[in-house]
Amino acid sequence: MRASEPKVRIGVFFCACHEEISRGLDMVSLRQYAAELPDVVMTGGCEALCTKEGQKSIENAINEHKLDRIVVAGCSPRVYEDIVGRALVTAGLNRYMFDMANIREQCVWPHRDKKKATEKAKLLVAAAVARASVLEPLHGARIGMKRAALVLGGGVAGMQAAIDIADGGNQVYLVEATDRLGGRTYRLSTTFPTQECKPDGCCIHYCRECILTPKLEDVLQHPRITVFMNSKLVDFKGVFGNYTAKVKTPSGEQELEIGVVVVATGSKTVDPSRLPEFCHGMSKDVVTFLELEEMLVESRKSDCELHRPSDGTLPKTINFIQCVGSRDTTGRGKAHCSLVCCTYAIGQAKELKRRYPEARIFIHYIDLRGPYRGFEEHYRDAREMGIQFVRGRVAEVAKEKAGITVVGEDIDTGKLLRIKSDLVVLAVGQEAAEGTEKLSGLFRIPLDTDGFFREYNPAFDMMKRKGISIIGCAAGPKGIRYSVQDAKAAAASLNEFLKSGEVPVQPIRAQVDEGRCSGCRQCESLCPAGAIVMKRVHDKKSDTTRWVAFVNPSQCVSCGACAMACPSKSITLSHYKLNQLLSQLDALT
Amino acid sequence: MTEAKEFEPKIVGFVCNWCTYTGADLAGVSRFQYPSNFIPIRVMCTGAVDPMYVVKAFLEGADGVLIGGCHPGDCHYQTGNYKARRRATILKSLLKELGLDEKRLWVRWISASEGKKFAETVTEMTEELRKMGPSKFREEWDV
Repeated sequence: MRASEPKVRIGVFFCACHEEISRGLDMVSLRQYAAELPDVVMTGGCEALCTKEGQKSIENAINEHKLDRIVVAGCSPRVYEDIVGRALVTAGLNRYMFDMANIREQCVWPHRDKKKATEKAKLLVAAAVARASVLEPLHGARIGMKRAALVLGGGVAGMQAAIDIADGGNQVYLVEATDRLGGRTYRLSTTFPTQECKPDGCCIHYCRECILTPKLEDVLQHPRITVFMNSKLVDFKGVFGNYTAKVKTPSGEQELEIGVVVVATGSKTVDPSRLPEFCHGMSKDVVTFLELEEMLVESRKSDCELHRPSDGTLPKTINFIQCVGSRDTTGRGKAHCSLVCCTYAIGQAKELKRRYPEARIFIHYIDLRGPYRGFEEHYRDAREMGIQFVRGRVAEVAKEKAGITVVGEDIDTGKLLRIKSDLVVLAVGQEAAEGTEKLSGLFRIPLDTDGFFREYNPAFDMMKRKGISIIGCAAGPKGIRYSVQDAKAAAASLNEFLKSGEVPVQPIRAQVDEGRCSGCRQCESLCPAGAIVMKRVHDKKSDTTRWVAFVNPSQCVSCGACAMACPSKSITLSHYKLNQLLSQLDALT
Repeated sequence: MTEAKEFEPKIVGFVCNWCTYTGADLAGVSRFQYPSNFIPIRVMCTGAVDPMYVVKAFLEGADGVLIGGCHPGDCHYQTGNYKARRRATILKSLLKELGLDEKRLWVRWISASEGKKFAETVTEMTEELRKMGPSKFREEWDV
């Protein structure tokens, strides 16, 4: 079959994996079998090929036997691929000129019968040798990029990312949908973990005047941050490193040339009118936690007292209701836990108890969840202050002539409760922000079942996300501390690219044979990354122009969907070419 | 041919790099035992499995072919497994034309964390194929 091709020289290396492999296989017959396979010029073995000694033995064999490609029979390529590649490079070969036979995870370990396992191992090695013999060297590349970032959303996460990226010496465009920076954090009176103001100069009162305001000024005064208020992203095109974003601002549309994107669009709180049993909107004295925060902020301007919205009196019985629209399996709210509500409800309860020690304060919860440092102390403190924690879901908030009554249950004592209440605070959960779906389409980043952007998997590097980072609550409910951490991590990894001014293009990608491409455009619609566009080429022979597919190398995600669908097989996915796959099937018989 | 003994079917699997191949690795790491009749061929995505590969595998003497990918909605490339599913449906009807039982082609969604499911699937498939006997091509051409 390969008679016309130049002779290749393959070396096959067997790893004993500290007897993990060698004890379950007949290594002698396996090695003999491999030595007789076509194009194999030598076989080698080692106790553990992943060690320095093992690497050295591969390198030496490559030089000694003038090998131009190798096969490693050992563990899964998912474990060892990079290390083998390194050995090849050291020996002066292209790092992709090898294949691996997975005789550990998919042979010795799941098959205890030594004879049967050896037979399967032979097939795996034969398939790997067959594929190796038709592999071709691959080359990655680096392309220049725009040293500018687009940050969507001016909340705590977005601001932090903007500052860090700009501090790295890069231009940042910050796009904020509202007329104010700070996001939801700006509406909070105080934040976890401490709600106290210490007059002795070591204030640990993380409230917006002291913490957020300076950060806001950092953003607004930074020479490399341009802020667009009341603005929205309307279009987004281009490739990693060289994107074009169209932003609609009050003074017209702006086109921004950027290299990377930070999505910090946050979340929105669940609208409690979807859950009418809680009476929000029907009684003025039923408020969400955010409305309570706003009342607390407002009170600082007058007498610092919390007046009931209905009649202005001071509340004596206050009920906090947790999980409003979170952990909801009825389909009206969200199925997930919103993570931060237990923490802030306890904080608000403490604040009210401090102001009004005589007041009766109840927190109705299903489970208390606060896996944060300091939460346990926060909670114990609240109990000691006399705040009552009642386990059980609240059935309804009844609006009666005499006022509002919370009807629920204490499942620890089995008692039904009717608590006449002056103020009810709903801990509304968080759901994906408005327009998340549209952004998901623009960025081609999928959403999860809960409607938030699918979380960035640290197992895949930044390249897989094409320089688009999802941070803060846009990737699910999160506390301020963790949103800021997200921002700093994203900025650090994006700054890596921005600093070098180049983005890598991975070598395994689809390639078009323009001479054969008929321009049918099937691949264009199948590409999940939008990497395929049509371009016009000039045909020298007939002196005409025609359309052919063009794969943008920096956008290709190497899935192979285009190669499969191409009717003329003029698109191929390098490293997984048709002949490379079929050669394996040939070897199996 | 070793007909006297229990028939050992040959199964070729086109498994995606992100889910089923990783799930097969996990089966090994967990030491879940399954018949050694299964030979994996790693592809980047089930959406890239050309029906030609499947037919070729049968022509080369495979008794069964498994296409293993990520669960619907979980594809690393968003929709590759949906493409594979649609293609497999059409391919099954074509297999009949070739005189092959469509039950010899299995499409299964096995995630990276489902080592157990991978082992069970291969075991089940091997048993089914044992009952069905050698594929027509294998019998006729004695490949």
